[in-house]
Amino acid sequence: MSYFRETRCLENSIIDYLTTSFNADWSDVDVVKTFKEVYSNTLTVPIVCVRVINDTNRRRELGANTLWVEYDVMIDIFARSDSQRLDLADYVKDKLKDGCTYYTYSHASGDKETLETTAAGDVFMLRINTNGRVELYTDDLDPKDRYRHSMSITFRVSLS
Amino acid sequence: MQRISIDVKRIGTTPRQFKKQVDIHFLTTKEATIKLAEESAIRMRNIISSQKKKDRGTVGRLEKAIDIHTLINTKANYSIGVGKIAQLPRYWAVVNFGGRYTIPEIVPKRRKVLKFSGNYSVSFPYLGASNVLASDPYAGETVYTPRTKARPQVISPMNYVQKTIDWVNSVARIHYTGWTRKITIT
Repeated sequence: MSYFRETRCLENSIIDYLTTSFNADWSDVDVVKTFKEVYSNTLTVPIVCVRVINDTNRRRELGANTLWVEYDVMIDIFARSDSQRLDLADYVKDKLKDGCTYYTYSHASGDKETLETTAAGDVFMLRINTNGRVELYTDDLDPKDRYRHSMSITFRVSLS
Repeated sequence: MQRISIDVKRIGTTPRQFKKQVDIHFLTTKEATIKLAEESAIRMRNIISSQKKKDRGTVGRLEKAIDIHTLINTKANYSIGVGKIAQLPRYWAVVNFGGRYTIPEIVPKRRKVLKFSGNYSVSFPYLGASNVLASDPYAGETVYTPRTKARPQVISPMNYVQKTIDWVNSVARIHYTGWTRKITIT
């Protein structure tokens, strides 16, 4: 078995949580984790891209060698219109402020397609660092870049 | 009845003396804010330098343009910014947020969007020709015709602004709680 490490598990947990939420409340919203997928011809807007861009580590407590890790996650929203951009941003914020379940992911050797997930704790949102419209200041905007929104949110994982 | 005399002597430090001692050992909030802003600018430049795809060992235009500047300086408020949009090259946003960029099939000379391999063409219809409207954006222009076929390129986001803000927030939360909102990146 191959087991994913914490950063990757966090990223996947958030993606799975948002995917489930969008499937329940919206229609045709894709949640991906790379820009390559966003701009692929197979997907159309609206698209939400979730990526862990950074982590901050410090000692958790005296007498232990464990770390207190805070993860900075970028959430890029590619919308169909400006109003949809705002709605999606608010929706994502409302969903993530409550936190979600943290899963560990693994797959059998040689079978990368089938992931096994196990609930292993919770993901907590600590703070929203940035949240706003993306203006690219270019004349030749790609159609997918027309109504973009960017959020930077800090999360913490609490293992059970 | 025997008299007892009591002397009350003040020992230790008064609140005023204590504040003086604290002031000596710690930076003032204004000094700390300036220091944090300087560190933020250095960090932002370092993020860009470390993530450059074509690192030629030189400092690029974007890194050079990132500097600190005072936004508010009154007795009650002090605000300092890192990186002024008006002074940054226009591509700062694409480098930071990422995106897809397509080199146009033809680019008027005066626009100078990108340097790329191509030929100048003077054969483009000139303004006043029967088949060219005045509203045509390329009418009367000398244009580039790229040698290679225009292909859209996905530019991965560097997110140097967000990474710096995240860093400022985590540092300030420990050392300068309550003052992070004064530090704005414009």
